[in-house]
Amino acid sequence: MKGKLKIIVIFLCFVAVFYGSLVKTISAAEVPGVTKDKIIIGTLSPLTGPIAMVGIPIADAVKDYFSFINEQGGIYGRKIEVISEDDKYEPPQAVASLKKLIDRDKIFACASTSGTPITAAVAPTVGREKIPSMAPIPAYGIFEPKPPKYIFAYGPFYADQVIFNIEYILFTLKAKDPKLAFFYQDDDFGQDGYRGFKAAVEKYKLNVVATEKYTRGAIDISSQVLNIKRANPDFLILTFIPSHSIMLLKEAKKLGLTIPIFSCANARLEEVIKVSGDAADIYHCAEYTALPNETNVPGMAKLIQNRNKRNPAEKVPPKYYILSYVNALILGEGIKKAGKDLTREKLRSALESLKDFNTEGLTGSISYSQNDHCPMTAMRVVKANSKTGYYEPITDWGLTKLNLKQK
Amino acid sequence: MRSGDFKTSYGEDMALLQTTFIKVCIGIFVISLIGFVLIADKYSIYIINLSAIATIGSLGINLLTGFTGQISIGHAGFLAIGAYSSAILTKSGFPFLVALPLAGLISTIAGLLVGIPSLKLRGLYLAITTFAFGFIVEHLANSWVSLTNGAQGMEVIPANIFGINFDTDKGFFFLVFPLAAFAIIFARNLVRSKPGRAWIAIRDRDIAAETIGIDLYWYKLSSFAVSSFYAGVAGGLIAHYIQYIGPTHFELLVSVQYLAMIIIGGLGSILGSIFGAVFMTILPEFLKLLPDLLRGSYPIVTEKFADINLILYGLIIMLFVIIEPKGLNGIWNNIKVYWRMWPYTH
Repeated sequence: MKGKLKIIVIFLCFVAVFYGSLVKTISAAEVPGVTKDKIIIGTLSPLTGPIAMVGIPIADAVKDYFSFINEQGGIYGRKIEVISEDDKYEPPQAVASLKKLIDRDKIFACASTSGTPITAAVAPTVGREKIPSMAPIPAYGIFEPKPPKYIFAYGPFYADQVIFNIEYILFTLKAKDPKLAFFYQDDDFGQDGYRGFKAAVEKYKLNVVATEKYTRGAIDISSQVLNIKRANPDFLILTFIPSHSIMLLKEAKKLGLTIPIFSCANARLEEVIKVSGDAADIYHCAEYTALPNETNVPGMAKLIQNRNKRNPAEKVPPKYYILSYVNALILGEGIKKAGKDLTREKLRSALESLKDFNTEGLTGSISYSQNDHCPMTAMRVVKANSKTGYYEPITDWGLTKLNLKQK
Repeated sequence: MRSGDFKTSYGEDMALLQTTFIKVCIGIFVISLIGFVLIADKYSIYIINLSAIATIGSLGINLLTGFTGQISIGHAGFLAIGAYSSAILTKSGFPFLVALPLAGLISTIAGLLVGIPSLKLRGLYLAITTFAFGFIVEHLANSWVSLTNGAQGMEVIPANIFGINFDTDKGFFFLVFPLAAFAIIFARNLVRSKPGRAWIAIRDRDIAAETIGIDLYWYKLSSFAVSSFYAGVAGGLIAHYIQYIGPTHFELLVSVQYLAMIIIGGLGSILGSIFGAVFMTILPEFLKLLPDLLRGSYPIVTEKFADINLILYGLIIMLFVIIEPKGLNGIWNNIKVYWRMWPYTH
């Protein structure tokens, strides 16, 4: 028995030496991800799988913007290194990817927490590790009633976008007692739009003739469109994802439904026009960023110039590229404001004290406060044009008159 | 040199760990695992914890599919019921120590309900039934807003036992590791006792099993019950670890992953369940290392071929099914046999 004990003890010694060699000595005073000449920023987004077409532009935008900053000499002489991690759009996987970014890559801040379900799943980890982070999508469920301490975003919730569309119908088009129909995707995203619709109906005493919904991933919405057609509304308001917008526009053309259709910013993709053809001419969206064809907007011109320099092959920046680029802009400004002695707490309070941040026309001005990490920014109604393949703004920038946040 | 295991008493033959060598190996494994967790970074511990949770879940599905031969493509449904039950119970004031077994029991009740048709249905038909069950649970999680907070998902309070919060990765390891160890020992004893033998008999030929006096009704249901209890506990642990759950956490893909775990690990094997769970949890992370290594020198590779992981992942699973249908457990056994006779192997 003694012989065996000896073997075990010797083995344990080996184990101890092996593990001991793994431990790196890190001085406690250092801020993770910040050195004299470098700041490490992470991004989390789906880089593989079916939603990669959204996730790759999110990561690219952050990389491109900080490459631009590095060419200008960095921030206080520090170059910014961007490390992108794939979350596969699966919640437990995303938490693993974020932990890898924090522990292995030692990121200082995170420029994208990916889509809404992923942001919700990583929020406890972000809070515990105190990583200032940007979320690409303004999601009501995450930022209301109390925002997570370290996560920031910008833009109107879907409820606000729906209200903006309705207010356009009421006050700009001056429609008299319009008959409205509402059609939404039955999940958290669509429910948020419905919340705005109900609030507007109550406030403005509107005449609703049809309310329809479809389940996420449904491949046929013709019966709902038929119901809407039978109800004979004057306007159709949507909270849809782009693929279903295309389905709806094609179905509407088939059934001869020619009323104006109003959707939210997330479904304002050039692809919708490309695939639907002239069926898209009745399609409107509430949009809170500048459009990719507005090259006269200084912010957009710079964005396109910077992007073309790095990706000469692709000309039109995708929607999520623009959204994420603005996030990188905000994060860069926050790091600048936080000063030379950078810490995560300083960055968080710098972001919280950001007032009327000007994105040079990419979005309306952005102001944060301690209780508002996702400020409503100005919107416009844009209309699809099947001849050019782009959207055209048909209103000025503005906010909703009915503000749900004040309640 | 050892030429075989020879036993001189029934006690020795029935021992769980049969040789001193195995006892020492397992002891070293446990000690080095704990040692590693004490010094490793949170990311590594997170992966270890996920593996441990997956082990509990895959043991459950292996008891049902591997040992009893009842295919389940709706296991994510049991995980979801466990996760939501535990989350809701702790939210309404139950201590974690009560909520987790209760979550397992609630999942068991669901398992019994799904198990009832299994007495009439076999093979593909049962697979479709469990498949539908998975969808029903996902739909309920989405639509029963007052209970589950719908598609928005709900926050879960961290596990707390007698005032100790298990909200760090390291802390959680010391909660999940003993549970996983207990789950393994329990399952191992279960499959070599009466119920386990009955399950295997049912799997091999249910009519023959009935003729030798095995109560099909009771044993099929009990297999569903035990399996869903395991899944419920695994689901509860995931909920308290990630501290947030939503319907998207328990989609069809999760059921498929669990099925893949036991196929890769080895159907009808406890060790195989562990191998499969650990392998399937670590593999995607391991595959990430490849682009990471190339990032420095060949950034273009990682940018343009991000999907390379996905291809490798699929390829490895396919190769397993084709080359080694007995799974990792089969490979392990081959290695053992090889070394037992070394250097006189044929």
